[in-house]
Amino acid sequence: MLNGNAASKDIINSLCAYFIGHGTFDGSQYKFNVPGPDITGAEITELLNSIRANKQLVVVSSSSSGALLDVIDPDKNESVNAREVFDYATAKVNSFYETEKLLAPEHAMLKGERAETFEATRYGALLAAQDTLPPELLSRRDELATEISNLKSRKADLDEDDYFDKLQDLMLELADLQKQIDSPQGSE
Amino acid sequence: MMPMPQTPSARPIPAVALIVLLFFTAIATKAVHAEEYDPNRDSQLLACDKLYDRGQIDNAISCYTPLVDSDSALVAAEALWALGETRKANLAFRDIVQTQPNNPHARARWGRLFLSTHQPSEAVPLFREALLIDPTLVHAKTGLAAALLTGSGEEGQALLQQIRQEHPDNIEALLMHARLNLETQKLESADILLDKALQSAEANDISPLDIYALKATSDMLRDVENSEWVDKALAISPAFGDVYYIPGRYHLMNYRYIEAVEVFSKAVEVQPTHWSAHSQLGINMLRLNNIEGAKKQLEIAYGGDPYDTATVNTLKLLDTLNDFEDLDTTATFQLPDNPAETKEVPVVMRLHKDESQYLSPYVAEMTRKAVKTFTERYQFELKEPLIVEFYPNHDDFAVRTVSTPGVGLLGVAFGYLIAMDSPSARPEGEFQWGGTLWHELAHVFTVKKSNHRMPRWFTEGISVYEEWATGPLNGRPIPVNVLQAIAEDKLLPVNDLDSGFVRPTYPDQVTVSYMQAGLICAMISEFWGHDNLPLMLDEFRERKNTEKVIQSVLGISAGELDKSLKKYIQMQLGTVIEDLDTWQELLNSMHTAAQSKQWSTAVALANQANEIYPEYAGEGSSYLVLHEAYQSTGNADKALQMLETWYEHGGYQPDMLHQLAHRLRDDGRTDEAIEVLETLNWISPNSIDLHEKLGKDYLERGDNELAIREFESLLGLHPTDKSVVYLNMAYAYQNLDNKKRAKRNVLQALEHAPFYREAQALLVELTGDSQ
Repeated sequence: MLNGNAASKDIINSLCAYFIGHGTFDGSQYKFNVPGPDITGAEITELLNSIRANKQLVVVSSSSSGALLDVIDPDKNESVNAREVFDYATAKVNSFYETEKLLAPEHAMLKGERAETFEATRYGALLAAQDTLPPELLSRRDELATEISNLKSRKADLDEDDYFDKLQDLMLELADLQKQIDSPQGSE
Repeated sequence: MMPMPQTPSARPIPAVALIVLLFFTAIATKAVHAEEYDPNRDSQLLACDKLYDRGQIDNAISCYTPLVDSDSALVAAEALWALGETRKANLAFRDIVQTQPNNPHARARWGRLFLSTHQPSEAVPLFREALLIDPTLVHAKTGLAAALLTGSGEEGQALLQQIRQEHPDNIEALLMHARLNLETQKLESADILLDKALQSAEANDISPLDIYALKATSDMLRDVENSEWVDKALAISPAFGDVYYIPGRYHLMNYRYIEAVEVFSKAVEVQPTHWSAHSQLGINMLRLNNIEGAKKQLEIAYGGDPYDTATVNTLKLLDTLNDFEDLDTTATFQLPDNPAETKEVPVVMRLHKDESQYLSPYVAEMTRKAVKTFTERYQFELKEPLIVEFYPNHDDFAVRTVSTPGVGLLGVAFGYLIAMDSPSARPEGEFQWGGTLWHELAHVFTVKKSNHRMPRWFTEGISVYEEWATGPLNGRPIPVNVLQAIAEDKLLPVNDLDSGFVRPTYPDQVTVSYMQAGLICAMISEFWGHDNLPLMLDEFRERKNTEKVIQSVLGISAGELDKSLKKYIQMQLGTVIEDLDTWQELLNSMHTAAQSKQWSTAVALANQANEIYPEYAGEGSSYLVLHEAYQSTGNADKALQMLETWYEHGGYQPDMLHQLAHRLRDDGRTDEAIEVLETLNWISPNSIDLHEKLGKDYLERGDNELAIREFESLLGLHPTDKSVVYLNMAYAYQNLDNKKRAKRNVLQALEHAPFYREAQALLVELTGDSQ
């Protein structure tokens, strides 16, 4: 049905899409289970993007549906903050007006500097394990995130190779930590 | 040059403000010459004019100055004008016309003032009013013809013809007629007219300086060095810069920018206060990529005449160049005389900083492909670096091209420098930039191989033909207005085809001339063989005219070529030309039926239309209606088939191409989907969705280098999630065994998304050996 709407040149006023059923997430890809090949999260997004609708409401009530939030979580920390939600929505709205060659009647603004610290939701492995994880893992995770952020802020002052060498060390440690978080007991 | 497709409603509104030149000229640049053709000019003024013509500027000023207080209001107005007090002169003429409403001569003179200050549209009504009072006033008639000829309309030419018949010895009319001949390289005819003008000037004791400048032009267009007419003019008036400046303007019409710069330099040398020459010198230095030299000359011009729109607009453009960056690359080609050897030519891409990253991969690729293709097809080796400029603001491009905003062009080639609209300069789908760049790059080869000596029709013809034959898009799109012109037998003889570009006599004639020239070149390639096209360029280089080149290379006369063209058009487009009205009616009825969703009727009408002109894929194509009809009636396979046919015939509406690619992918025809998406790169490359899809497709297919091109371009469009793009680039580099680049890209992915598990896994894999 969505394919039919995507192929149509007609503009729909409002589109409400409810996904009721079972979904899976393998750590990198969300799939909504249907008879035959499952539909991936990327396919659902592509399909919805190609439908010419003035307004779209999408409700995904399947298990693992949080994985779909991946598209609005650019740092992929499985925690979506207010800044990320705002940036994603703004980019999508701007893209619509640009594609349609229309003058944007709205200019959304986000004031203040602490939007990043307001966590809107968690998803994925972090959400699944948040109650069982050893606190030191989460604390080291936060520390590493801060160290990475500090290193990035010094990027302009560092030699490029030196910067990426330092980044690599931090990233490898973070990768190892993530692996521990992902393991069933929160350690490996 | 490449014209805009014929969509007049889509013409842009000039965004850069035009500063209207209102009554300001300095005496040193005043164009008093035309005034001397006024048979009623007062003898006191004539005496001063003679001093000016002899280069005795100070004496001329002293002569005109007291006449400002003359008892004759007309003499006073003329003196003010001659002294450069054009605002005061304007007021004076206005008063005269108010107090002497039945004086046709005063109105004609006021019109001349407007004409000399570049305001022909103000001049025209004054000449018309003068002629209503006195229909026999030749000075008003010639003024009206001159004003009308500043445009390209038919009326000016018809009026000139009438004056020439009624007054065969009128010098002004002879000179105007000669100029028209010089514009289209009819040098013998121009010489006859100029000689006649000389006789008339001698007989009537009129200054011959203008005539000398045009004689010098005729010599220069024949490549005569050291024209005697230059010496003669300078002997009379050593500061007569026009003797160089006027030929310079004709060099420009023939794309001879190097020669134009040379003569404009001489013009400012003999007349340092010739501000127009400084301005043109600067503008044309810019065309030769001498930015600093251009700036210097334009600043001098601005200092002397701050109201010259060309100067002001070009200086503003120079300021915007700070927002551009030069990206260096190279293009490789096989040596024409030794294909076993290859050579490189430097290419500079001058792109706006906001779009250089997403656009440069395609500009580089298209330029490289064109250099390789055209070197082989035209057996010509580029001698200098290529410069390719893209302007996201159309008015900046227009100023770069003709020094004024608002022109309906898409691209232009100044020798080795190409300037054109960037894809973002126009609404999506309005033009296909890849075809435009291809067209302009073909010009570089034809213009340079013939040493700027080919006629306009031939270089445009080859560029159009190459767009069809080797360009990035399918099909041979011929606009409906061109079909209409063919049906109405409006094509020009090949010998006169240049006038269709330079002096069009009906609104669509420039487009019609482009297409006619393209069809001629396609016909020559088909009937005589492509190799004859480069041979013709060689012959043009030897300064032969169209008639002689056709005779010597093709062995037929120009008239016979015209007859062959008719047969060729009959072969290619015969059915639609004969049934054009029926075809258009069928399309109209088909659209009406489609609007009311009467699909079976729409399908029947579309099929009938396709029997007449199956190749049509332009606006309102029947294939798009058939696609919609089949889609709406549930016949998805047929709908897809219609879209494919439309695409094969050159359809390039971006949303429909995206839809076609989507459907092909759904059908598992990924390679064909990729081909369609690749086509979109040459039409509408500023699309995040396009590069995301194409990059992933190429990555999946193992075309890693192309995948990297897509991802790099995608990054230039600032996608919301850059980490995915960097990760995909890392995969592509990993597939190419470039571990270093793969690692750098995966780190860039993690830089944006530190918790990105897939990137973390790749980093661990890539560092596995060393950690």
